[in-house]
Amino acid sequence: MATFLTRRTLLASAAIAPMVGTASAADFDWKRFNGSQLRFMVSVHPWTEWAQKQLPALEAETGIKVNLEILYEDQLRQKLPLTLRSDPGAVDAFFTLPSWDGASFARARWYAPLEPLIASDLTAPDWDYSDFFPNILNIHRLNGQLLGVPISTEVQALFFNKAMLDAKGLAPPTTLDTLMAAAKALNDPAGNVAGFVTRGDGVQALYTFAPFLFAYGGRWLDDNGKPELAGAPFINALKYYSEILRAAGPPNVLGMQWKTTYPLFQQERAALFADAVNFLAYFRDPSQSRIVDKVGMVPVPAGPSGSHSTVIAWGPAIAASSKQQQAAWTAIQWLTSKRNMLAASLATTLPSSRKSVFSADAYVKAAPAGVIEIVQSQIPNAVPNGANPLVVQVPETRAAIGQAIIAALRGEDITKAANEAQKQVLAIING
Amino acid sequence: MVDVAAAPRAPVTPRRRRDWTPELLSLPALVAILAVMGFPLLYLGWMSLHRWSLVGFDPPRFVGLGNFAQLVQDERFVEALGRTFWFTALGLVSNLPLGLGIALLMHERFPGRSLCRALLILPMVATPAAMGLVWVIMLDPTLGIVRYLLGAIGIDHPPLWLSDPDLVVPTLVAVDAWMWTPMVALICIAGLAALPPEPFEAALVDGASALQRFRYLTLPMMLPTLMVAAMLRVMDLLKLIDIVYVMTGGGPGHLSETINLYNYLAALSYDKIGYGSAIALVLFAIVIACTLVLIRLRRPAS
Repeated sequence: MATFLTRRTLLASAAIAPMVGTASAADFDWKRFNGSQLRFMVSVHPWTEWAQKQLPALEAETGIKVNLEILYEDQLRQKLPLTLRSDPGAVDAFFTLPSWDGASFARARWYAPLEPLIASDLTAPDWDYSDFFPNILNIHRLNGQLLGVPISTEVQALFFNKAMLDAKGLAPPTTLDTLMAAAKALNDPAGNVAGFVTRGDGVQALYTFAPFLFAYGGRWLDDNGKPELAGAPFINALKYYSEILRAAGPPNVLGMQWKTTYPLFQQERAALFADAVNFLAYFRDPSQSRIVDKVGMVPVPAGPSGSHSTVIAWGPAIAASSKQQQAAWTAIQWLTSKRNMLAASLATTLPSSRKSVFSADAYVKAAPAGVIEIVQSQIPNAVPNGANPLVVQVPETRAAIGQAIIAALRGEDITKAANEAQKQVLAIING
Repeated sequence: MVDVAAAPRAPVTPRRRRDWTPELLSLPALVAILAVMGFPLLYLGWMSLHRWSLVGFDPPRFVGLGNFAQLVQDERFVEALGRTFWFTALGLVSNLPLGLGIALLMHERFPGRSLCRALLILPMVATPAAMGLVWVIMLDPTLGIVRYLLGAIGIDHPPLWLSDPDLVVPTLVAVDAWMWTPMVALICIAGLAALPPEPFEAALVDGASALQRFRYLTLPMMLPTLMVAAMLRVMDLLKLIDIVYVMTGGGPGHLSETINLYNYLAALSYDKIGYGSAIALVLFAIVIACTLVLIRLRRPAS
């Protein structure tokens, strides 16, 4: 499958590498912007909750006072554009999820590029740009420019119920073929157990459908940003996704959102479950799960083109309209330092975007079993922002592609649905 | 003593000077209403004539009636429109008879009536979003309690409720009815309490059966009350969004999407402020038109 790295991004990263680490870490002046007052607009997220608790320490070490405005995600998506548009300079930094708002914010030129700041003496030598997984940085690299700092690594996994697999003498499925066979073998409608469950709600299902699309060698958009939904990979993936869910999914899979899929797996009403690795926390929680000791994870299944998870990451970005970009960078840099990223991962259990966290003893001990392996092994092949086409109109595009997924799940003509999605998305992109 | 008759009379003018005091006194209220009702409406009208994205710094672009022309061709909008009327019709057909029935029961004197009346309003005072989520869990075809209860009476393959394209709208209407029939019942209880007792006593003396008393006395006399309840429910049902958003998000696909939900998505999620405004304006016109029709229907009855 096509790599999402462009030549320009590679050159940009190569140019920065030698610049870091020239001065000694002890010389760095953290107090350079002492007395600055900043306004950050962020969403409710484990990381921002953690960050909020660090603000006193941030102020003590840098003299920068950050006013953290925490909004629910939906509210952030309405208030942030309004504020950036109507009151330039009011917000110095914000929380961004590039798969969702990256293309539109980049087009609006609301992000301040970070590489000039990273390459300057405003960045502590031990912040260590090269410590981030390059493919995770790619999530926040748009049009060749780094526009945010990813604070975690969200990949997907295939979860399995060990006891159910053992009972049938099955190995954890790692390919599309073995997954299909296992799902059908484990499906037991009479016993009220589904072989396999994942999202069946059109808009939401793009996320869980994406690894199947990538396994068939597909991608959402071609190199020119045109949709690629009428081709064989998309159609094959749609056929697979609908076949496995129609044959081995729960009876009500049509319209199922994640809030109704994971409880089935958690309550032993499904043998296999595909979604974000983060769901592991629900399965390991003895107060709500029946499968605490039975849950296992493997990478997303491999198809003709290999195994490719999506990878997405929230992260702070600096507003291009901010008058205090350098102070904002100092604060973000402090929050994303090696030491603090480790602390954040320990506090939130979110897999980090920094390599050093994965090898830190404290994290290795604290991380739930299997998480480090499943995340690290999938990072190189994961598709940054693969959760949906990286376009300006994400929600509308998701709805249009979601219609194709719904049509397939209802047993309608898949090629026709794919062509319709192609037509719709093209119309949406062309406005 | 003053000779009144001799006092010069004021010349008789054909019209007395207009006294503007009532208008002046109501002016503040008028200004307030215009400010809070008129301005948003005018602004909505202005926005509906533009293409406007909040992302970036492009100013709104005037497109005339372009948004409305696009609406007519938008299948999703046309389907949502029809579906909204379907929601409203199903809602009325379920709410009014049920509400009146409950009111008739509650009108009778029986032990525990006050408690029943208090319990009656519980669904209404709960938050629709929270109740929607509770219903999603209860209706889950694998884990939900509804499946368990149906199984207990021998139904092994319960309906798929929210995942069944044919059942999703009736299911949502049922949840809406559970939530809002109590309001209809309350209105009807008030209406029943206000009915004069004499016609009923006369009917009893004449030997009318309970059914006859209901058919020829209660129902006609309750019509104005039912119209008020219908009007309130029609306004709410046409604007239905909360439980749909929470329970299905308009899905599967768009199969339970109402106009108001599409309006919300278009304006605030798809970043098409102008198009969303056009939808809002159409919805507003529909609500006003339906309300006027109901007011007109109510008149001869009263």
